[in-house]
Amino acid sequence: MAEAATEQFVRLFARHQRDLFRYVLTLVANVEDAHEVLQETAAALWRKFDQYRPEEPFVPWARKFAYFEVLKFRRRHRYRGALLEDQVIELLAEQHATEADALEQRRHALGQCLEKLPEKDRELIQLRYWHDTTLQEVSEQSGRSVHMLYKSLVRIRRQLFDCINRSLATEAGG
Amino acid sequence: MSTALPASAEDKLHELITSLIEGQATDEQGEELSAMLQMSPTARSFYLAYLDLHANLFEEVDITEHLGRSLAEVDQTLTDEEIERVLAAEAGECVETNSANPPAAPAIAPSPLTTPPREQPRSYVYAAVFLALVAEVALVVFMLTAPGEPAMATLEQLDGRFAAGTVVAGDELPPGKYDLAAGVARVRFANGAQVAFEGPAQFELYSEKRIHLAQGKLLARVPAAGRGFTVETPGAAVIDLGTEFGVAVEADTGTAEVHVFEGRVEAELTPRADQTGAPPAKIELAAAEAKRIITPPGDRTRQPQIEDIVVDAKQFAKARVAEAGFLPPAAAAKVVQQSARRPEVNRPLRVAFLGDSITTGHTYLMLIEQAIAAAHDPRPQPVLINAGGGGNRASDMLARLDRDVIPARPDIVFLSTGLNDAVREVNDEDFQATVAAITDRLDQAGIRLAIMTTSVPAGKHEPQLPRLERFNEFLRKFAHDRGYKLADVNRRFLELRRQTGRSLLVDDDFHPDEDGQLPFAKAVLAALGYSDVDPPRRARADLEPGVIPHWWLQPRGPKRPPPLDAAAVAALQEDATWLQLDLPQPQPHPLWWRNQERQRGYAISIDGTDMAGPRYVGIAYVDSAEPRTVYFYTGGHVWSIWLNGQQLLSAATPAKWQVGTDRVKAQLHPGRNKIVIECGNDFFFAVRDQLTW
Repeated sequence: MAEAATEQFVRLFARHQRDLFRYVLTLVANVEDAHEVLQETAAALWRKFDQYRPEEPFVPWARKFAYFEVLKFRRRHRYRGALLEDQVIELLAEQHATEADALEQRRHALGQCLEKLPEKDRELIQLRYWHDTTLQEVSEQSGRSVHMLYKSLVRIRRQLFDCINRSLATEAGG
Repeated sequence: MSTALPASAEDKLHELITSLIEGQATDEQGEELSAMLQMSPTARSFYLAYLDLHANLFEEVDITEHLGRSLAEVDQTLTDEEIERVLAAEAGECVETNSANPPAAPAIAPSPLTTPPREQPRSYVYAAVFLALVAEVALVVFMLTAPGEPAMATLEQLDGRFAAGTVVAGDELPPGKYDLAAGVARVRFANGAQVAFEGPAQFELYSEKRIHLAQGKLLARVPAAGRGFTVETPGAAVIDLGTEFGVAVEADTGTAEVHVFEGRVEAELTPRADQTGAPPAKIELAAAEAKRIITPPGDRTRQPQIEDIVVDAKQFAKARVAEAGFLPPAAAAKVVQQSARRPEVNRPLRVAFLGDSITTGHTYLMLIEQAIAAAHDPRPQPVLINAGGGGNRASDMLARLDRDVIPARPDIVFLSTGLNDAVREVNDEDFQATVAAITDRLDQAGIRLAIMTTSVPAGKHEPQLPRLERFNEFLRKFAHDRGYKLADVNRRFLELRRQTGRSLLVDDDFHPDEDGQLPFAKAVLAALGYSDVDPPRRARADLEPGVIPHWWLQPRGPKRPPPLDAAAVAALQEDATWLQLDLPQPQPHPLWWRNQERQRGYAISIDGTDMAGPRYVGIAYVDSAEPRTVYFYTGGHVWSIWLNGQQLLSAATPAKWQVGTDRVKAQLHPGRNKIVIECGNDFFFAVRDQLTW
């Protein structure tokens, strides 16, 4: 019995961890912090898994725990994690619940927008994100200044952001 | 976003959010951003969308797959006579240096310049499955230590063997990871603690007071002076309070058993204080007590569960004999014989190729394999292991050594690096330090090395050619100085280019074309001692074993559809509206490399384009006469695998290109088995009875 529950939990968590990661990162902004919160969330979910009803969608249930863990994390790391005020986090979490579908659509548009980027820009995105390298490290490896890289990254991310806006606008228009 | 923000507000938000996610925001910026978000729902929409983009980029990997996109063929091929002439001209020459015993390289600590890039965890849960598979074949001792550290531990007795065979009784053991393949090893620590390990065991020594047991058994006897000696396991740190105790850790689950025979120990459960803010949970065990510490799957830092069990001294009998120090030679021999593998007589040479997308593309490996097969050489046919990775620089390869190379147990590794380092402007010192770190690591693992120089790109890459030339010069000198074999691809490539007047590149000006593969094959053959063996003009692409011949496919619409769930998979039923795909695909592909991969059994360009294309869900059926354990080998773009409704693989990133990037253990039931996969426009999927490398 316990084994079946374990297996069910493992499957559910494996399937939805990406959703939870995105949610948590949205609220803590820093990727290392997001991983830490996600670990704590996994632990909390596992402890409370006997309260989960299978007919209930997993992600909204799990998000509540993730939100709680975000708050706990902010209390633990008040010195570094809390640039945004608590009220703002609460507002963001509320609004996230109503905008999940819109975000899902944006996600679908991202792939095409990435493909439109010039090679050099894609490479920087790849370094920063796929290899999870900090700008400082990229700078050391590429010989380009941190300032330059930072500006490029901001520009590229903005291009992607605008491209997604455009493609959603087009879809809505058509 | 429904309502538009004023442009100035947008700019401001971009600026503030960027500072925030890059960790550079000041308190004032934090306040400013808080104020904007608090006032305006539109600003919050903007923020959520931006952060969601940030999060998604961590998961987006299609952009890194160089091969699927840019390999295209230039309509330039050499005539047979041209090739023959060139090959004849270079016959006989090869640069070989003595590699029998490279001089002992100084052990180094990891260089700060070569911080290996972290990859996204594929999955908190499936990573465990992957590690379990690797563990079946992992046979490795590697040590990282700074020279001059005092001996914190000494191997007193070894009645068995360490996997790579580099440690003998009497040796000092520096901090590092050890893999005791079989038998028993007794280690004395500087503080007096004496620990007998029973293989197969994997452990790490941190200090004279602290070790980690990842798998296997140990029996520890700790005198008063060594009180506090700690054995970490996945679920708990076992701390000695003056005692004799045994610890056994299961390989697959990390479940640990702690048995106390004398005195007391304390077990401090993970997660520890620094992770929760609460003091760590502790349990104390007295003599004749035992507990089982079960770590929840998926995440080994979560609070484990504790079960009472009966203390069992028999379990540690072998270790106890060793610990008492009176293991008679005959008994020792018996222990070894029971569990150690027989030495293989005249076994084939295992050759791994650690490289970039040119290696991943597999063409020159096929040329080498086919050349040797046709040569009727008395030596057994070598086993070639493809450890290429698209877009890899040396630092990427360093990061993959322990995952992709060392577990494959190669006798020799061909290192092919420098191209991506040059075009991505890695500086000389970093490149050199990283190459040295790779070779040091392989030396320490007892694996021989051969250094390959690079082909030469053209066109837009020309500004980086001086850098590439410096890298190649360094590689030659490095091989010479260290006594590694050299496979001078670069010299042969330039020679062939000069003689033919062709770039030998496909139209991305980066990857070698079909003729450009020949210098690679020739150089490697020569370095392997087959300098008289000529590669064939063209590689013959044979169908890989186990490819499922028939698939039903259905596009899943947008680029990033939501992941499949069990209900969706159960509802999937192929019908006439589905695309049917036969493998190998009968139609030739106009580009040679893609055609080659088609012939090997890859599904290539399913939608007719060479772009990443839509994602598909694919269904195939496999019949089995009886219950059977098999391995699913994937390559190309495969995100998830479901067998008879059960999910076996869920990858945040798809497999790398080559066959067997993911090897997933599966149980077929008698009769018809239904396989469902999520795949991209290109994928590979085969069913094999055995794990091969």
